[in-house]
Amino acid sequence: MSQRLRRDASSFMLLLLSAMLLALVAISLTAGSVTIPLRDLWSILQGTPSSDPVFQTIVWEVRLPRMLVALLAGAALSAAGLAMQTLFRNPLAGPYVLGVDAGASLGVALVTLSVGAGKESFLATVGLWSGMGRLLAATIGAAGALGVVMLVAARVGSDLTILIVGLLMSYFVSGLIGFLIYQAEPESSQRYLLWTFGSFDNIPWPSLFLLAGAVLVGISLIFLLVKGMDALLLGEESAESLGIAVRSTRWGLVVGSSLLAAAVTATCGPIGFIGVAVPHLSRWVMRSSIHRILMPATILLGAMVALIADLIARGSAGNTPMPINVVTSLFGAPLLLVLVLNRREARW
Amino acid sequence: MLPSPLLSARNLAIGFSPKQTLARDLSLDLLPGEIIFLLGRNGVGKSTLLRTLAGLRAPLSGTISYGSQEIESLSAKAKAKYRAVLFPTQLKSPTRVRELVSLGRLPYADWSGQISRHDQEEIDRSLLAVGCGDWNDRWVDQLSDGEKQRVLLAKTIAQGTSILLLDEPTAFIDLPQRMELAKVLKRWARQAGRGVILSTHDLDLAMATADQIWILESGGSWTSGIPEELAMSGTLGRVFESPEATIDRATGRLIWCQTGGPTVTVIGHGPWHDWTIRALIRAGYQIHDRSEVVIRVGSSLEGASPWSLSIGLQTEDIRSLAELLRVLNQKHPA
Repeated sequence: MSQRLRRDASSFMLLLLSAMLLALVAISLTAGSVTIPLRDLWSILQGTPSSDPVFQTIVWEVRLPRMLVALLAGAALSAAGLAMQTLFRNPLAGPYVLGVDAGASLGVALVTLSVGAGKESFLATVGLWSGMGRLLAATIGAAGALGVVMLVAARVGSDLTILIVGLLMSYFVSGLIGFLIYQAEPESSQRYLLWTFGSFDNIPWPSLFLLAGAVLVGISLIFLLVKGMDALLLGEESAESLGIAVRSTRWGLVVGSSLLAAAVTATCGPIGFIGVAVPHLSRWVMRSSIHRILMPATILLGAMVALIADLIARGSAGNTPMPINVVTSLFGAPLLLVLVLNRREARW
Repeated sequence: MLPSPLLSARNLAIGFSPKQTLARDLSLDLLPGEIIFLLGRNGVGKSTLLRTLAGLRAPLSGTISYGSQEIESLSAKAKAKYRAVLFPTQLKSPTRVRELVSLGRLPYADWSGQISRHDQEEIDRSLLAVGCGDWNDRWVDQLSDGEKQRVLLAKTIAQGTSILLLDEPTAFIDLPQRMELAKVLKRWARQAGRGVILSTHDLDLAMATADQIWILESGGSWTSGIPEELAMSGTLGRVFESPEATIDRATGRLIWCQTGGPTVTVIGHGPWHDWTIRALIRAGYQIHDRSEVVIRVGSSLEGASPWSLSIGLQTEDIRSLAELLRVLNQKHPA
């Protein structure tokens, strides 16, 4: 195939993915226990006062925020996953390899499981404050983990060391959390467990804006480094010999992906699977390993996969939606397995 | 007058720290059109020297210049446009041949890695130069080791530099492909006055191809020269000889040396004579002028028995080399 044709094919594919994402967005806003006609949706989004007030409430307070959270979370985790897979040259790497989810989980565990279960303790009060308290705790926890990772990344010379530090931090933190669960009362343990299932629901608009800001910054940072990521396919030394500033590229990828993972985990809980799987899907769809092409495709596909997962979660069980992590694992894992087994021409 | 060198090093010391110096006082020149082989036992610092010459690792002392410019004054990008480096590379991500080769043009790409039409032509040319002009869409992970090495070489050539620094490019590839690789490199260097430095353990290839050989010895000293001089002066022998192997001064080849085996005398001439000697050495015999065991070798395979074996007064005709070894092993075991 000529290079011209190949470039056109990539552009066409990206256009197609965008169109598909747009369609999913529309479905996500209109479908549900109450079906909203497309025409009404348009006028609601434009803020026309004549539209049905019930529809308005459903769209503005339930479906739109949830759709946006799912879209942002899917895009963010997938972009972070791609960055980590390239940086560590490891197909199993994902947005959480650096232990950011562990930090967020610890924060949430501390407030929901609050040691000693004294109902008057400050932590318990924050915990009772439900959503906002959890969000705050997860953000502080994720930021703490991000700080540790950045400190390590600034000091050590090898990618592998960073990976090991992230892994050890995760183990250590899950030990702490295990201890907290052991001490906690059954109800609070269950509350914590529900948080770990992940959810796009009930996110207040302010934290949605915060998420959007963090995702924008994180994705832009990674996007600026696509050339360096291409070079890293050959290994660190070769990348350096091609004139790439490997140290700052690594720094940018680590900070960018940790920020993305932290923002998503703080907002929706630790959403598994999407971040590891979507980059592979993207390579398969685009049939390329050039990041200028992979990054936009990964972002689009990540958003689409999250929206589909959300639709399945909602569509499956009436008023109480299935947890997102249940959906991504139950549907995603077999799908990816089929993909990997059938992919003769390109394997890791 | 000699042309001015593409790369020169003066009083170079390399290593990890002053306490861990691998080699010192290296003064080397790479001239246009030259292909230089860097030899030495494992761990003497061949890779470190290549990385230092590439400007990826600071020398402990001394200077390196690309043309007339010292490398400290060059940016990472300027270096990437003057020299290309090929390290032993393991590719982890599935990539097509053309995409992989296009990575060589990254020093010329914009921030996103986008390259121009001119870059695409350079990629075409380097694919042709290594003889894989129609491999564009093949997947790199489905190539053999030798093919992969050719593609990586194309990536390195595509960088459009004046010099190539190659770290063990011949490891893992078979003999004909090594020859092929050496030929491609030689042509590449001669065509436009470019230069190649490559490290290898392949002494035969170095003797057959190198314009110059640089030898790093353990202990940090080094020697350079053309292959024949190094063989004649015994330098090759000093570096590579061990109790098990010796350098044949006539050919510059590494041969097994056996001590303490029984002696045989071989009489005759021509290729059959030479091959008989090789077989006997391999089987553990020592060739001696006056042994009680005498083997006569005919000059051709005409006649039923080109070999005859005499032990004392007893003489026996023998039809093949394999039979000779068998009979000898029975009557006069090594």
